[in-house]
Amino acid sequence: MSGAVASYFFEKKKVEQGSPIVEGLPEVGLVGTIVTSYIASTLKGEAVGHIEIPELPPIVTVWESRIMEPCRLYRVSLEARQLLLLYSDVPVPPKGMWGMANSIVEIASMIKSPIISVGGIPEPDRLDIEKPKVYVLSNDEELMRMAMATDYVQKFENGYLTGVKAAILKSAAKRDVKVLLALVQSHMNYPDPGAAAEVITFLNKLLGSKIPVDTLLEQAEQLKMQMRDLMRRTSANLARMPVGLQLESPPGYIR
Amino acid sequence: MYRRRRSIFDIMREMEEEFEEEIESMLARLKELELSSRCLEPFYEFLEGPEEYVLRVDMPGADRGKMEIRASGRLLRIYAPCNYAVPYREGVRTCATCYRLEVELPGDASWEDARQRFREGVLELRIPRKVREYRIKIE
Repeated sequence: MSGAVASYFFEKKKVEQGSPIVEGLPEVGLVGTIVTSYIASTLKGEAVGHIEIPELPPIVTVWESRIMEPCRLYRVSLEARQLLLLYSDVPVPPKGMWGMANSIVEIASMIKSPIISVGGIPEPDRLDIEKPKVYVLSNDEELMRMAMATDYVQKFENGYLTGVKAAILKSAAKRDVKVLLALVQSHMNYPDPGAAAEVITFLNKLLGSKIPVDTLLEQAEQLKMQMRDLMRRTSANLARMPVGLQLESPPGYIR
Repeated sequence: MYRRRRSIFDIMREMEEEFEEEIESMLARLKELELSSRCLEPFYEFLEGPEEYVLRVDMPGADRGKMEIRASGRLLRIYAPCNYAVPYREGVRTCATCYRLEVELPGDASWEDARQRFREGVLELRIPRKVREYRIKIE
């Protein structure tokens, strides 16, 4: 199962080598989904590929009479570089996570790009937190150093990761692909635009970009309403995963 | 005539498929209910603490001034009109205009001293538990 690769289509010629891939598949608080969809719509992203979601019956998305794949890769241009965004209209079922992660890592390896995987960490007291903290983790020292140099994040030190993000880290180790995880304290079962805004602010500092977050915060209410159905499906999906592990700490005696 | 015995993996696969079907039909039923009632069922979480229950209900766009919270017996009813109509999807004209939720709480929930706050579209209710503790003297 861990060796399966989901089929994908990707217009390699349209993408500059080394362009970071921001993975934002639907998970806790839909943080990744909000981040990628907001950046893609703000910077007028162009679809350059898609990944078939494994273990799902045939699904297509129709938007403004256009037929689209549910899981799409967008290309956006920042000041001095390109950015690839991985976004999905439907959650990836647990059985399809390995295949999805392997495809993302294969694409990253093909264009020699790092993966920036963004998402949320469930925080039970999120309602009382004005400014949620962003935690980072990387399999590459240089990437980690760059992330910490932003002075905006904290090191993810102890805990568990589950789902696509864990699969990406494991798969990337086999292919020598650099991965940076940026996880923000977020609501678990509600869409969390405030947490997503913190991730975008961190990306701005990391990539030297100026993606405005004010509009995202102004649209927070509408965004939460628009994402209700996806959140409900994602929650049903998360119920089949050991997400509770992300609240626990490892025993830590054996190193 | 021999009958092939089903392996444990076949049984587990079947159970998994049944579970998936159940989730899918539950999601469809919820959506049908929302479409027919024009009311959204908000996401909520219910936490049980040693001294109180915490109910958090996500209602983005709810009109705080017109929100109604009623408790009767063990049943809690929340109703809140939305500040704007929420379109369901392209081609469907009906819009949701409110949130409605009914939750049954445990018998020891004490409504009299319940506290509430509404922040960033999330309604939080803190409902104390009736004290049923007795100190037993150690001789």
